[in-house]
Amino acid sequence: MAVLIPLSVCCADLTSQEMAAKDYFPLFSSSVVIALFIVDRILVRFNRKKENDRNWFFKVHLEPNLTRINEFFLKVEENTLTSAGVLKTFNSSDLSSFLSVLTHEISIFKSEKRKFELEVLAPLRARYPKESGTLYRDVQDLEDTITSFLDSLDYSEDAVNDMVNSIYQTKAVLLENLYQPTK
Amino acid sequence: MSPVRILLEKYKSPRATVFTGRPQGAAVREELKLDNIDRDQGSEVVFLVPNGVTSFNPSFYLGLLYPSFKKLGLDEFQKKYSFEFATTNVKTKQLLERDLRDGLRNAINSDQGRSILDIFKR
Repeated sequence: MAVLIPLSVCCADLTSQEMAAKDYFPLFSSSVVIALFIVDRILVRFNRKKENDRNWFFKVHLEPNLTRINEFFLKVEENTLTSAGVLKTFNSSDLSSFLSVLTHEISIFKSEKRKFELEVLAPLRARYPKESGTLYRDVQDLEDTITSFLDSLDYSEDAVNDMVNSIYQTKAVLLENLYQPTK
Repeated sequence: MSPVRILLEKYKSPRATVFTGRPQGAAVREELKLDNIDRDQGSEVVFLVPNGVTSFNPSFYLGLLYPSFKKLGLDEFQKKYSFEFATTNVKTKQLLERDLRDGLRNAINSDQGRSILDIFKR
């Protein structure tokens, strides 16, 4: 059996429900405003920290080292060409003496590399371990290029051009990787 | 137990005087099954660096030994793995020892971002 509810009672209830929901709107909207404010403050703080980190990285690590990086790659190129000249003119029939000279010429690059690692890469390690690991790997690639070139005994113009090209490709990769913490 | 002696001569291309490249080191590691040796507590390995080698690059060292270093930690690693040199040239030997120190230093530098899960990988 259907129960008939008087229309006046039904509408009166609806109106009171609508009123109650409306009463909560100001409270709800102010909560949203406060939440947005908090989120905004967090984002501002986060961005400021990121900006400070970026400035720190630029001033302490990147700018002072750019000259040093350019010098290092230039010196590696010069030293390797000099070493190639020495090895080219050396009489390689005396194998033992030749190997001693080759070891010495390779060690010239390695001394330069160790200085570079110590001066440029080691200070990065504490704060940017992941990036510095990548940079160490770039230097390892450079070391492989130089040692393989000197060991190849092919010091023709084409081989020299390939080696110099590899040096500067490694430099480009290293600079790109050095730039990573600023992104 | 006497150490296992591994001659590196056969892992070098005949004309080359240098050990270079991480992939090359990793290939030698694979062939020598160093993962199994790492699991075998108490075993020791001596690598014999042949005569006529002019450079032992960190890239090769890391390809060959970095997983062992990571698994064992510095102390255990140094107890397990060592190198001997066939050369009688004192200067060359010094330079090669310096190369190995570079390799170890690079391994230490690469040992970043270890997670707690690493202890389960042993």
